[in-house]
Amino acid sequence: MPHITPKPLTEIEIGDDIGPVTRTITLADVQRYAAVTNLTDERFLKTERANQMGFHRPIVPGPLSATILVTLLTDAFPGWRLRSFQASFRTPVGHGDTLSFWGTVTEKGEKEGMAMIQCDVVVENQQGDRVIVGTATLVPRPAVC
Amino acid sequence: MIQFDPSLLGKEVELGTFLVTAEAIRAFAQAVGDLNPLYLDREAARQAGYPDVIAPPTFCMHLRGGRMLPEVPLAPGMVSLHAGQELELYDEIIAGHTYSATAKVVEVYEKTGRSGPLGVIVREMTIRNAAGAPVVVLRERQMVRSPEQKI
Repeated sequence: MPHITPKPLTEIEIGDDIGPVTRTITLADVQRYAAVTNLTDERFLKTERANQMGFHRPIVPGPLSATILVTLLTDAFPGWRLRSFQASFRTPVGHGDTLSFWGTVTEKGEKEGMAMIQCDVVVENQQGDRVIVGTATLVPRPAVC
Repeated sequence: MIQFDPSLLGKEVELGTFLVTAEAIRAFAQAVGDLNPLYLDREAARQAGYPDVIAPPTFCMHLRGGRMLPEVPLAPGMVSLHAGQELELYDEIIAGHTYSATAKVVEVYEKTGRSGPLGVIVREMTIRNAAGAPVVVLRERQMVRSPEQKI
C-alpha cells in the first residue's frame, strides 16, 4: 500500500455526514474484546453477574463501542489520524443491541500550523437512545517516508 | 460511596513497561474488526513510512488491561460503570517499540444524578515512548452507584 495522501481539506465540508454504520454487538464480540484487553469482569459476560450488579443483562464495555466509533472515523478519512477523542457513555448497551454509529463534521481549519477536522459522533441504539455522544479531532497522517 | 484518601490524588503509579509486538496489534485489530492494513501488514506500514505496523488508536486499552488503576475502594455493595473516555494521541504506537505507562487518579467527587446519588472517579493513564515523550493519554470517568435500581 503506497503512502495514502490525506483527503484534501477542500473536499471536506462542515456538515458532511460520517456513516452511519450499523452493528449488532454479540456475546462473541464482547468475548473477543475481553480476551485482548484482559477484561475479566463477568458483568460483561454473564447474565447472573450482570443482574447482581444492577443491570438487566450483560453489558457491552463502553470502550468497545467507542473503538467501533473510532474505526468509523479513521475509515471515513483515509490518510488522517485520530488526534483526540472524547466520549460520554450515557446509557448501558446490552448484548444483542443494534447500534448505529455516525458523525458529522463540525469544524475544519488549521490548528498549530496543521490541518484539522473536528466531528461530533453519536452511537444510537435500536430505540433511538443516544447511548454515546462525543467529539473527535483528526489531523493528516504525517508523510513519514 | 467512595473511600478515597485525598492525599493520593494526582500521585502517579508505575504500570510497567511494555514491548508492543506486531502479533498483539494484529490480535487487537482483528478482535475489534478494524482491518486497516497499517495495523496488519508490515509491508503496507513500511510503504506508508512506518518502520513496522502501527496500533489502532484504542490499542491503549490492551496496554491498560482489565482494571482501572490506581484502585479506589468503593463502599460495600456499590458498583461502578464506565461513564466516559478521552484520548489524546500525540504519536503512533509502533510494533517493536517499548513503551512505559503511569496512571493516577485526577478527580473524585460525588453528586446526585437522574437515578440518585452517585460518585465519580477520573483516572488518567499516560503511555510514553522510550525517550519519555507522551504518546497517548487516556482519561477515563468511572461512575459509582448502588445496584438497587437496575439500568
